[in-house]
Amino acid sequence: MASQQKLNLGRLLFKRLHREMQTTINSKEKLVDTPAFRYIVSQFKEHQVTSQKLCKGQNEVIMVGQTYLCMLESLRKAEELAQRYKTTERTVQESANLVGLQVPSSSSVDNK
Amino acid sequence: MLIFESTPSSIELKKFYENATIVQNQGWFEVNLDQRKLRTPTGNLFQVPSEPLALAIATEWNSQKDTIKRQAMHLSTLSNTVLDNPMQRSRKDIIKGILHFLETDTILYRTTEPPEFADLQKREWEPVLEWLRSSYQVELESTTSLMPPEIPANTTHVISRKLTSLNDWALVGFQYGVENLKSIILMLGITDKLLTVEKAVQLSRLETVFQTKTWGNVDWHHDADIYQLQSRVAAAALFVHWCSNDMATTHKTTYSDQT
Repeated sequence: MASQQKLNLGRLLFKRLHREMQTTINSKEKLVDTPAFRYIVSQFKEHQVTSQKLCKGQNEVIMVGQTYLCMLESLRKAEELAQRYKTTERTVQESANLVGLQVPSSSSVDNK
Repeated sequence: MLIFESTPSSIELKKFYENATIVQNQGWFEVNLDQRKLRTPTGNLFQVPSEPLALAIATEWNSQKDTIKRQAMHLSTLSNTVLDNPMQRSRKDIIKGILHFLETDTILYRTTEPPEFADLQKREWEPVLEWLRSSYQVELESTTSLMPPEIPANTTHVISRKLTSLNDWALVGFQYGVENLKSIILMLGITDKLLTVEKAVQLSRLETVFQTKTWGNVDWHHDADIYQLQSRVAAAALFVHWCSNDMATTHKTTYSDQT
């Protein structure tokens, strides 16, 4: 794979990670100052495309980065869906009323 | 002891801290919520053997808004499981539990009907099975009958050896992945960098993928399912990767038994 392709893949991944973490973290400090983001930056810098060597290191940073991005994105999307379709569960009374029935005033099941 | 450890998960806990940070302490990494040390549900000190894992966990805590949604904090939950070992499992128990999935491994079960689905299974699953065979030098066949496939003893042995090589932390992560994917082979595919999490999850859900293409997709059910699975499996994969012996600063055993 051309090292340029890998470089672009790395850049895109970095951008998406940045965006995802920006959305998800609630912190007073800037994202670039948080230890977690600084770690990501250091990982990308450490395994930069400088020459043909370090291929394994690059691949690993990209794979781990993609996995982490997958986790963050999936959590966000799951939450968005949950929010969009949030409903409160109907009570038995409400369910019965839906079809024109009434819950009996006293239960006959408990008669011992 | 902070209140939240004994709070049942049905009660929503308000976010009670401003900032989560990590601290290194004798080879382990702890998480601080403001000035207080994070603890596990049973009150043990929360500590993990890997810096990126600790950072990701701090990020989980920093991602909470008004209430703590513990069901979304997979890395924290997995760590708590290792530290507290609530089910009192030994390494042997965990490995045995994982191996049990081999017999019922998703990608070993093939149908003959409908032919389109049989084809899809062959196209998608067979390459992964072939990869396992050549990568681990084992024999393993799929089955079309209702009975579990015959697992050659050597195959079980080789996979068991692979699992034994994982330390306590990576083992718990691996098990979580297998449990969610319903497949050892797919989880091995992830940890051996053959498959992305998204691909593994898709392969795990192949029947549903096939059905929804025919009968339609219901996003609040099907997509929610996908995102949930992906978040869990991704957490499992990260846990295995970050806690593996060459990554973690220490591989103290947490579980006392010898195997």
